[in-house]
Amino acid sequence: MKHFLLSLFFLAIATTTLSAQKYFTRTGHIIFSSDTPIEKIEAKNDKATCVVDTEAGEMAFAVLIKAFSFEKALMQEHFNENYMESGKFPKATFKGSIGNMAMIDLGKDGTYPAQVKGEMTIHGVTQPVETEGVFVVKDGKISASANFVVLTQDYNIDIPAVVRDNIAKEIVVDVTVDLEPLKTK
Amino acid sequence: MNKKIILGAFALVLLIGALIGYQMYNKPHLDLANATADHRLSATELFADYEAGETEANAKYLDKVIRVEGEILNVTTDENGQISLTLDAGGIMGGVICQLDPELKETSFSEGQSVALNGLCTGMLMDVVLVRCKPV
Repeated sequence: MKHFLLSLFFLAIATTTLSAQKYFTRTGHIIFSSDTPIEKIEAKNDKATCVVDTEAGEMAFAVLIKAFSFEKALMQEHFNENYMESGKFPKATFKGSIGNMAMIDLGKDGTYPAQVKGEMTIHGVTQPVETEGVFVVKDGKISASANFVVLTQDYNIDIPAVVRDNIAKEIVVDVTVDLEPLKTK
Repeated sequence: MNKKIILGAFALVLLIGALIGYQMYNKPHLDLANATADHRLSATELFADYEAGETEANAKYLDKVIRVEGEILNVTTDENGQISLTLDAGGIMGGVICQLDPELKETSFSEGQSVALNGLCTGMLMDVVLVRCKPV
């Protein structure tokens, strides 16, 4: 009887962890900024999707370029039409793995640094990316964040000479997501 | 005397040029409440078009003013006060998300309500995403 209860207990634990292997959001925040002595440009997007598969130790992001919002309409226009060519390349994506997944327990409150490595596609160009992010679990709520630098030239984003001093070559990207367990049917 | 007139005219042209430049630099975002819609359709039709073929749908809808009608599945306000409505589009995993214009900080929208909104189509991830939406 004791063994039976014990095995039932372990089964219960096993199924709860099994049922929450994937975490998800469709309202992730991405802010990028370009800072030069002449001008500071910032744009944000609140509709990034992110999926984290804790069992496989993988994560993926996708974001619509045209959903980035700038303070100035003119900048948004130039960003979409001239630099990102978002009509041709409407999405940016990242797909990668979390190197230290074994040390991260999203079922337990805590702060977990994460080594993320993968491939990012922007403007139709795919580049390897490696960065450190952090998972924060508080009262059962999971959030993840990371910030990293993107070089415009790595993604064949051509900035015309006239505005070359206004736009930074290194774009700082901030990502914040609040994740929910994904219910699989 | 002549020199003064030429100089004055030159300064005037320069001033007008600077003013036009400044206005172009600060031109406002398109006001969608008063914009003419390029396409009028239901959330279900828009979502179905994207499901049928993303590339074709992007060619047709991307960056266009869409007047979309549908029933609200849910209303969310994020930590920055940004309000979004998800419209029922008949899909299991996805729908049409309408991110409201950032100026709209309060909303009387509720679940189950039928709405018509003007928004700019930005494409599809799991949902078709419209931004800067305003009710019409």
